[in-house]
Amino acid sequence: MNKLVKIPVVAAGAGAGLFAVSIVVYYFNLDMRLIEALHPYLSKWYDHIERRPFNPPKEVF
Amino acid sequence: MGRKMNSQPLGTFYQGGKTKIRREWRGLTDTWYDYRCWVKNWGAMVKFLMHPQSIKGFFRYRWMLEYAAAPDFIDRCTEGLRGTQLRMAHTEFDFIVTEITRSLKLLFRGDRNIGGDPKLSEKMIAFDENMMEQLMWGFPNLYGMCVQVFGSFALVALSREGAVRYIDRAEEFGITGDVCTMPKAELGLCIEDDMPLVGKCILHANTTCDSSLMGNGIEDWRYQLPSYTIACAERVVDDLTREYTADEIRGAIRFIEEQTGEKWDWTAYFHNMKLYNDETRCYLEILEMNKTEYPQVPDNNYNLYRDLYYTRMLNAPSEAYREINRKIRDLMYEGYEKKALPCTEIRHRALVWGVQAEFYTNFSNWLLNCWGIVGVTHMLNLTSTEIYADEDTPENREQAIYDLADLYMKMIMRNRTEGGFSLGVDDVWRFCEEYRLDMIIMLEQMACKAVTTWHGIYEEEAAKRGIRVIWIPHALLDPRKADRQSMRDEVNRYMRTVLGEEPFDPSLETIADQNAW
Ligand code: SF4
Repeated sequence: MNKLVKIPVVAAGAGAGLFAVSIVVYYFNLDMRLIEALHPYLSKWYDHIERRPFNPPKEVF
Repeated sequence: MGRKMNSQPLGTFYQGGKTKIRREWRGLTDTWYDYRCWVKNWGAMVKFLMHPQSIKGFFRYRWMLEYAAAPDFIDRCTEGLRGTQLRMAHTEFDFIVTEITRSLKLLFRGDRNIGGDPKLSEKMIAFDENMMEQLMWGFPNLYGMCVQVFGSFALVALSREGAVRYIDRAEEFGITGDVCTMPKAELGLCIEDDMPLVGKCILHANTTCDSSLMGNGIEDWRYQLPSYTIACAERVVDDLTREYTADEIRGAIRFIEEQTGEKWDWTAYFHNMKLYNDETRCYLEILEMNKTEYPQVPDNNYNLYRDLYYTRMLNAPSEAYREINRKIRDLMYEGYEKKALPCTEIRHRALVWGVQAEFYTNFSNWLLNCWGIVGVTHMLNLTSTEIYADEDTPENREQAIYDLADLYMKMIMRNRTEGGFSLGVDDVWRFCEEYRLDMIIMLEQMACKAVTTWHGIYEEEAAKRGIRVIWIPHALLDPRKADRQSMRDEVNRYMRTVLGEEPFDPSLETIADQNAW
């Protein structure tokens, strides 16, 4: 196939594929289900962040 | 199927997890519209994450994880809606998503905790608590950054459990269990070291009410920045208290000028106030519309957006807010011409009174979809509708300080809960009459002391007037004290036993959403 024809055909095909996938993700709420699945793992990540202790400044006491 | 409201059993979409098993089918046109908004919102979120500082912020602050559930939140807030109601909701909620991502990006760019730009941080004034931010109109070269909006106020709209950890931190520190969870969660953020560190200085305020003063001094231990507290009067209908609050505003302006070297800019202030007055005029039209038998902008659609644009918490340009307000007004007239209803049938026109636990609970939408109760207006929306001075004249420069004082005193919540008996109680009956309401949904926040003391008076007065009151106890940001189902059960019980009514959608009476965001 001529390159000039091939590029738009492939682009249109990829666009249509992406659109179809996004519709499935949208309708079956797969985006939120993925976040739900990742939630416990990411929560654990935050447990390991180093945090400064909370102490009153010396002049308070 | 799906094109009409209540054509699907919405309660069956929840099956015990954090999210629904699928999105709603709203007929072709409305589903296509909803899909496009979903794509747009994900686009805004992905664009936000393209910035390296945003990625750092995402992995530094625990609360950022809940923002990933923004699409779920929007689904909840648009549940069951169709036509102009759906479009209005998306106009507002999608704007909130765009502006929150924009503000967060700016915040992280200046955040010293994650190696942000110190020069940018110096241009920021950190705001404690959610407060009126109109003060920053006079400082167009600076940014007012209300850090707690992101880690607490907006967060709990999205997620049921967002603030729980921070509430616990504050209680472990020694704050008692009966203190309002709003300032408590904000203090917990500081204690946990989960607050972005920005700003040349910090402004505190006693908004949303005096309870927030509890944490201000303690929060300064974390910030280690020069601070100033705007302590505005709680009583808002008294000239003497306005005089006092005007002094507080003058002091805050002076403080910012001293700290940053910037000078108050009257041209910028009046320019913004002109746009703000335009928004107020739009809002007055909305209020008038809601008095008709076809109320078009009920509280489920408008409440959160109104809170944010009224207080200017999101840092968006005034032009952007005016644009959104005009779009809402146009949709409102379009809906009215079509005689569109916000639900299948309006069975009850309600005043929603009290402070919110309704965003993450999706309570107002649920009232519509399950029982046909329309929240025609909401206490938090019934704030100032004054048209303030917006021409730059010598007299108006003096007046402007009083206008700012008026706005600060009439911040959401406090203007009704702490503003005195006439605003907290008498006005309820006035609104019921003006908006032809037959029901009050009393969202009784257990730790909101002033309002709980009026419980008996509300009951007595409502009985005299033949107005039905449904009490919904809740604990604002803490779902452990009253969860979604217990709030819904109060309504279910009243509707079935007192009024003998049947729900439009029985699947919504008891929902398996105990773990939902
Ligand atoms: S809920 Fe009541 S106590 Fe809490 S901040 Fe609001 S007005 Fe104050």
